[in-house]
Parts: sequence; structure tokens; C-alpha cells
Amino acid sequence: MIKGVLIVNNHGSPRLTKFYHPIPNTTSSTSVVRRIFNQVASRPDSFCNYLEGTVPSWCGTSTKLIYRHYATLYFVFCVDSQESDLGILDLIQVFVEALDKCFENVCELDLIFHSDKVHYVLDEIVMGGMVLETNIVSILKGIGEQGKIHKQSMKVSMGGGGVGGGDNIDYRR
Amino acid sequence: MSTQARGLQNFISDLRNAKSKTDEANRVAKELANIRAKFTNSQSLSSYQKKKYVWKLVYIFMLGYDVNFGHAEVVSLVGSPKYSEKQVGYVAMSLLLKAGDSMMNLVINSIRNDLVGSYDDAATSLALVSIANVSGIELMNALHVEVQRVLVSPNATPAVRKKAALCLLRLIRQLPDSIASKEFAEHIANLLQDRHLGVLTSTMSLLIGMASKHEMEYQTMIPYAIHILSSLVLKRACGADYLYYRTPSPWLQIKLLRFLQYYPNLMSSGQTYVPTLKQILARILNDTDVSDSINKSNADHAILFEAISTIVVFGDNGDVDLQNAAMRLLGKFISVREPNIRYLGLMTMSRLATLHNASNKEQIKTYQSTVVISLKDADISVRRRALDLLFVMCDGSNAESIVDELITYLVAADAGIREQMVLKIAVLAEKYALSKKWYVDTILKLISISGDQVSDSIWHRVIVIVTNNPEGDLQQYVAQTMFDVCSSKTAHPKAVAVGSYVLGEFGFLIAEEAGKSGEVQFKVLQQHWAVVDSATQGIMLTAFAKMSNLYAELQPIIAPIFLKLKTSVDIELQQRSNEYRILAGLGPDVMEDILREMPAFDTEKVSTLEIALEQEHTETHDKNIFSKKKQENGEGASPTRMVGNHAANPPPGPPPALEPEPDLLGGFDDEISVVVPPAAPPAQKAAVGISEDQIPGMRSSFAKLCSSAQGVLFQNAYVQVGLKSEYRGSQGRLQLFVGNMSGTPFNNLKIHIPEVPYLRTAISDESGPTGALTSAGTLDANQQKRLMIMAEAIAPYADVPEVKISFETDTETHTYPLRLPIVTTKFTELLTVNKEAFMGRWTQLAGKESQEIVATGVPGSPERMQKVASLLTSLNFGRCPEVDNATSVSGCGTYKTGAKDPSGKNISVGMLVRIEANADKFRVTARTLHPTVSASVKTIFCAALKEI
Repeated sequence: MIKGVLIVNNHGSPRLTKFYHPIPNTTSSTSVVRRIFNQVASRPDSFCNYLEGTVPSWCGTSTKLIYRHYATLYFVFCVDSQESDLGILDLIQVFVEALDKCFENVCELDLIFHSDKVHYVLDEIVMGGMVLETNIVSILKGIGEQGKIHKQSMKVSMGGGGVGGGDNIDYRR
Repeated sequence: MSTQARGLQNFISDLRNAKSKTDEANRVAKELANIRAKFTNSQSLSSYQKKKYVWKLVYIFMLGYDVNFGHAEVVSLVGSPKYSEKQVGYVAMSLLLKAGDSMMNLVINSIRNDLVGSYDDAATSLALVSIANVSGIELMNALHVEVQRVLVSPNATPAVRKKAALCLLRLIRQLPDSIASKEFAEHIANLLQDRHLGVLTSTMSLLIGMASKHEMEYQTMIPYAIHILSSLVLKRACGADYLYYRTPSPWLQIKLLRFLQYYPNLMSSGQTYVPTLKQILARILNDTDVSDSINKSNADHAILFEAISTIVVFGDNGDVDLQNAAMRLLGKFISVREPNIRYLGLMTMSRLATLHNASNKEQIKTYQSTVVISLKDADISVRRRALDLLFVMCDGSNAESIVDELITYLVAADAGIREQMVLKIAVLAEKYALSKKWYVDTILKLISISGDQVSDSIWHRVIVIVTNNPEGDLQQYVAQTMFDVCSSKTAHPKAVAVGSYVLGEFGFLIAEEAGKSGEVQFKVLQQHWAVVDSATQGIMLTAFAKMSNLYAELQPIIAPIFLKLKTSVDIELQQRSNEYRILAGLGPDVMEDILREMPAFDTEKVSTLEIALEQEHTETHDKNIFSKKKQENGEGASPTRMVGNHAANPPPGPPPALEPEPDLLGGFDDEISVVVPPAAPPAQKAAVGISEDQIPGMRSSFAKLCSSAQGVLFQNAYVQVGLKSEYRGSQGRLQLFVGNMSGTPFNNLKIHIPEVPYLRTAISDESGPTGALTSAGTLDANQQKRLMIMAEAIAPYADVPEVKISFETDTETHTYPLRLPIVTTKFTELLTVNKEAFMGRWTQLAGKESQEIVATGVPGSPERMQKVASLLTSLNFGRCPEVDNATSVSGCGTYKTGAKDPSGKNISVGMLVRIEANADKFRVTARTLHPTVSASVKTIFCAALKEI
């Protein structure tokens, strides 16, 4: 299963964290994020996308970090040995492409100022640590429908649109 | 579509502009105070404001601040009739709340309403997602029926159905028995005929979860899976939406292949689908090309690797051509430049090597030199895989070259991988050694190159093997070598430890040689005194004592050392030096006797090193196909060539941790009702032992002694055996009293405690420490003999140590094998935790429980629960009353051992136990990280509950 999903920027600031394997009360989530970031960020991009890095205080010693580095952001999935290693890499790509479609050229600032939307997208892709949907059209449709109902149920609607500027995430490697 | 509120954006901007961490903390504190004030009067807040503040809390929480006060507001949003509020509430809930939080109970009803009584799919979806995300026993218990209903409902849309399938999967991982597998297979069959690939993917995840636990029940799903696979692979029938870089839904293909791996005999089953499956696998193997788009290439290779894994699992039951093709591909992958493919190639090849298949292994061995190149890769992930592969491809024929290769590389290896390498080299060197000298040399090389990573268990193993192999010139050779190594001023402290032991024991074998006299040997060791740690100094002292016994000329040099150290601040050194100093005054006979060479060690079935390696096992929810294979084939059980003279050393089977739960008391009857007749005594004396009618009473007194510090272990007309004990952490000090009640003297009284691998024991009687764990002597009528037993736990165990008492009177010989109540809970320290911590741990350890139901025949009552609670305390568990109701008692404890982990800390195992009463029955559930500990705790509690 997928035990956690993190988006961290090049400086280690978390942009999204979601843990499907609960973090024990004795450990702080920020220290888990920091440890994962430190392990991943020390690797040049020419290395493979897998690291049998571990955060024992969170989920034991057998977790593998599968990550991709796009421009200013690291997308890290922490998984156990039952997931397909390349399948997870593809899933990260799907996640990024879905975000890109949602924000029209997604950049780090979009993730910061629209973290709600990022969570909605993630919830359409991963559920309870399991892969839910991999088809981008279907993911976007799910989000679109939710958005519609959301708006309908609100009396006041709020201004929208992506926040421009910043480096776009170049995912078309 | 929703965007975040302006106030939230401003807040985030503020934090981004914060100049320092303190600045940020101040801004957050101010905001939290503001939100807290708003929430105290939340009726007056608008919907917009509520959502805004909750999102602020989510953001603040991500930065690592505590926002628990906001949970109530989150819960109220979940229950809101407005979808916009509900959506925010659900997302925030799965981020902020954890299973076991007190707020969880308040939210269950809202979730249930959304799940079944809901007006639209959107709310049902939110409910399903949040159940899966939060998980947790209370949620699962309350809602699993509803989730199943949603899944099989004919009205559910694909979007809801796929979520329900995954939700159910999460649920059965927590409550494996909540679904009747037989009936459920039908539902799965229906779902597999769904045309929506999203539903199929989720259903396959669910099916894999189910099949991993009940393979047989889901065998009928194989034709469906192969049918779907054939339309994806052979016909490429797939909606455009599900093409990922032109590949038809790679995730679904992977899941289908993964499912088939649970049926390794598939290919030889003779079913009609076998040719289709063969065709599918061949197509995947032959048609996968390297593409210039990395994403396309990733997706295709993901399927390819899964297909190869499937072929690997089929092994000899599968198709030989496919197997060869798979092997050729892997051979190619492990030499490509692309790091991901190489990494996965190495990983898959190790899996292949762990399967028992001689021809595979021979083929893999031809890639040795290629793998060695990856061992030198810059990327640690690749290096680890290469190391792992070299380790599993090693056997008698290539061990020497692989070990040499590893040692060469160890010199340059970085800290990240050294520890693992050292352990693996040590295991290989022992397992496949051509000669024991080579083995010893290899370990010495390890010490000199990377001594800091050589754990104590590695060099202890050397001592055991050298001591146990007196034939040939091994001992002399090792003494020689250690003399040379220790002659260097810069010898590693670990080498000095080995040297001290070896020269103390076997130094006399080389003392005749020129320049290696006892005196020189002593000086060689002594030069290291100041730089080694106190444990090594202790070993040195023993070596000195043995030397001064052997070489009279050393006595005047060594005696002052003992004298000086008798006031050492280190208590161990102080004790040793005092003992050795006094020993010298007791006369040569006593000295001879005590300082004689050590007897051969009882060797464990499995090298402790291999156990250490095994403990790096993986934890997964669905049963891991490859680790399963490993056990079935008894991999790692290849005969150990090394330990030549260990008659009592069968090939190391699976380590104890994986053995079926041994029964603490189950074998009791068989073992003690058999009166062991003593070796035929000269005059025919009658054999007396334990009579059958005493066994229930003995079981009861054993159980009582498990929870109390003193009492009578056994009593009959001749003899009374009592016990007094005192434990601290991993150590226990026991006094065993054997009283003669018969009126005639006991001759030839022997009290023997057979050594067990999980305890470090020493016994002593009035005359001091006794060798070989036996005390012998006579005991006059109405006299009592007292024995001190020191025991330290060094490994998990579910067995019980034993004491054998035997003696003779004029007309009879008596033998009493008794079980000693030195059980896991004795080495336990009680632990008090709060509800959250307990539930958190409890959920985490869900897969590692041991459970049993005991019928006592006494009806339940509050008084009885009181007794259960005090039993818990007397077994050294701390209660956690917050998680209990009137019919349950739960608690925690820590099992302490004296064994060290690689970082030098003592290993301990946290234990949770829960006793639930139902009429006259108790259900005992123990959960710990270690299966043996779980089993042991469960058994101890079950036995004790029968006595209350």
C-alpha cells in the first residue's frame, strides 16, 4: 500500500502531506517529512527513482520511497513492497498531469494557494493508500462534478483562477 | 470550482514572508488564538468563514503545529447538510483526525447517513473515501456492513463502486473475518464483468487482498482475470481514456498478473485457458520495446516486470521457453544504463534466485561479474540491490570469489551500506566456508577493514566455532593469527577482544614457539589495555587469570593488576579482579579446575546472524508471494557445510521467529508424565518420578509462579522444590530450594539446568559458581539445598526452560524434570500509556496478533474482572483503563532483553494485551512486533486465567 504522499519543494518546505499509515503520537509529522526530504534531496537526478530510505519511527524499516523531481518540487510516494515500482512512478506522473490540467500549467504557487484543490485531486487518485483511478479524464471529471455541486451548495461564490508566475513544473520529460 | 478564501491566501503570504521560524511561530500563535476565539461562538460564523478557518487549520497542521482544538468544528462540518461544507469537513477530517481520536465516535453517524441515506453519489463518495483514509477499528466495526451493501448495490455508479471496492479492501485488512469469502466470490465475479476499467482496477485490488488470505475460495476468478488480460494485451481493447501513453491501462494489467501469482501451479493445471495465458506472457515479453518517451517506457516495463515476476513464480511448473526468455531479458536489464530498469532488474533477479530452482541459479551465476559492476555504482539503491543479489546467488561453488569481491569493495564502501555488507559477508563466510581457517580469516579481515560495523554476535560466532572444533590445528592456527594481529599496536579493539579470548583459551598451543611465550603473549595483549572498552578489558582480565595459572613467571606481574583494579569504578572489572585475586589464594587445585579450558558451546540451530538478517523482513498487508515461497522451499536451509562437528546442528531451517507457535504448556503432559528412568544403576533400584495425578496441581503451581515472586513449584512425599525470584529489566535472579522431606539422605543429588538459546544462564550453589549449569552433591534428611540462578533474556521465546533434579536413596532413584517459570512476562516492565497511544499501537500491530479463547467454567462477574485486572498487573503489564469497558481489560508492557541491536542498544519488544470476557469464557489477544512474543504472552495469560 501507499503509506504516504508528500510534495516538498527544493528547500524542504512541505506543499502537501498526506499519511495513510498514521504517524504515532510520539513522532511529529514534520520530522518525518524532514527525514524523507533529506534522504531524497541528497540524490542527483541521474540516480534511480527508488530509495529504500526509511523512517523507522513512522512505519518500520521496509518502506521504499519512490519519487520524481519536477523543477522546484519533489513528489514522494512512500510505499511497501507490494506496489509495482514502475506503476507508482506512472501514478506520480498521472498526479502531476492531472494537476497541470486543473491549474493550466501548474507551478509551485498554485499548490501553495490552492491546497484544497490539490487535496481534491489526490483524493481522486489515491484512496486509503490504494490506487483509485489512473485515467486523467475520469479524475478531472470527478473533480469537475464535485466542483459543480460545491458551487451549487454555496450562496456566495468566490473568485477563482490560478495564480500565475513562478516556474512551471515541466513534466514532459 | 472552489478556490481558497482571500483571508487564507493573505495568511499564507504572511507566513511565506516570515523572516525566521520564530516569526512564523508568532504569526501562527496569533492566528490560532483568533480561530479559537471564533470557534467558541461558532453559531455566528458564516459557512464561508467556517471553511476558511478549517482550511487555515489544515495549513497550520501541515507546518507542524498542534490544532486539536479544531477537531469539533471539523466534525460539525462533516455533519452539515451543505455539500460545500461537507466536502471541506471530510477532507480536513482525513488529514487532521486519526483512528482512535475521541472525536471519531461523534462522526460515525454522519458518515453512516452519507453512506446509505444519502441524496447523491457525491456524499457517498466522500464517506467512502474518508472511511478508507482514516480507517481505524471503530469506524470499520461500525460501518463494514454498509460498505458491502454499497459495493454490491445494483444502483451504484462506477465512481461509487470503485471507491466501495477499495474501502472494503482497507476494511478486510483490519478485520479479516468480516466477510464470508465463499459468498463474496460471487459478488466479485459480477464486478469483474463490469465494463468500466476503473471499477475493474479497484476490484482487482480487492480480489488480490482477499486471495492473499483465502487462495482456494477465489480460484474460480482465474478465468475472468485471464479473459480481461487477453483483451488488454492481445486485442488491445481499451477505451482511449485508459490508454496511458498508448499502453492499455498498465495498472490493471499489473494487478491481473499479480493476482495470477497466487496460483503457482496454474500453468500445469491443464485448464483451457493455459494456452491463452502463455500467449499473453509471450506477447508481453517479446513486444516490449524501449521507447524514447520515458513515460511510455516506464509503463511498458512495469507490465514487463510483472510478467517476469509471474513467470518466476510459476517456475518449473511454467513454460521453459518463457523462463529462458525472462532470464535473458533480466540479464539485459541488469547491464543497461537506465538506473530504474537496472535497479528493478537486480531486484527481480534476486527474487528469481530465492526460488528453489537449480537451473535458474546456474544461469544467474553467469551474471556475477555484471552484478559486481553495479555493486560499485554511485547510487546506493542500485548498490543495495546488487549486494542483495550477490548474497542470494552465493553457494558453495562461488562463495569464495563472491566473498573476496565483497571484501575488496568493503574497503571503499560508504557508511550507508557497510553494516549490511559486513553482516552478509559474515553469514556467507560461515555458511559456505570451504575451510574453517578461511572463515576465521574472513571475519578477521572484516574486523580490520570495518571493525566498527562488526557486531558482537559476529565475533562471538567465531569463538563458538573455534571452541567447538578442537580437532585439527584450527585452534592453534587461530591463536597464531590472533597473536600476529594483536602484536600490532593499531589492532582494532574488536580484534583485541577476540585475541584476548583466544589467547586466554588456546595461547598455550603456541607458547612453545620462539618469541611467543606466555609472557610475550601477555604483553601483546596488555599494550591495548588503555584503548579498549571495559567489556574487552573484562575479557582481558579473564585471559590474564588463565595465563597466570599456566605460566608461573607471570603471577608476580598479573597479581598487582588485579590488586589495582579491585577498586575500579567499573563494577564488572572490580568484581572480576577481586574474584581472580582471591582465586589465586585458594590453591592450585581449585584454580586448575576453574580456569580450565571452556567446554564446547551448545550451538543454536540457526546462526544468530542469519536471524538478524531475517529480521529485516518486509511488512506488507497482502501476503508477500516471494517471502512465502522462501519459507515453503526452506530456502536458507541449504546444508551448512561449515559447522562440521556439530552433531546437534541440523541444517538451519527457518529461524525460530517463523516457526508455528510453540505451546507453552501444551506439551506439558507428554513431557513430564514420562518418568525418565536413570541410566541403569548398579543395584536395581526402583525408579520414582512424577506421578500422573500430580500434573494438574503442577500446572496450577507453575501458572501461579508465573504471576508471583515466590512459591512451591513441586512437592511430593520425598522432595519439595520452592522458588523465589526477583527480576529487573532483562535480568532475573532466582533462588531454587530443594528440600529433602524423605527422612533418608539423598545421594548423588544433581540439579541440572539445560542451556537454552534464548536465555543466558549461570547457576551457583554454596560453594560458588558451578560449571556446565549443574550442581551435584548430597543432601541429608530434613536439609535444604539452595541454588542461585541468574538468567538474562537474549531472544524472544515461547518455550520454558527446565530444571532436572535427580537423586538416589538406598532403594530408589528419583528423577524430576520440572519447568521453570522463567517466562516472557517476567522480563517485562509495565508501561502506562494513554488511550490514543494504545489504540494507535493496537491498530498498527493488527497483523501480528495471537489469539485464543479460554473457557473457565466459572460465570463472569465484576469481581472476576477485578481479578483479571490484578492478574494483568502481577504479570507486569500496565493497565490502560480508558480503552476498556465492563468486560474487557487491556494493558501494555515491554519485554526487555539483554541482546543488543546494531547500534548497541538493548533490544526490547513492546507488548499489548487485551482480555475480553464473555460469560465463562475469556478471549485473550496479544499483539507485539514479534510473533513469538505474541504467542508467548497469549499462552501465559491463558494459563493464568484458568487459575483465577
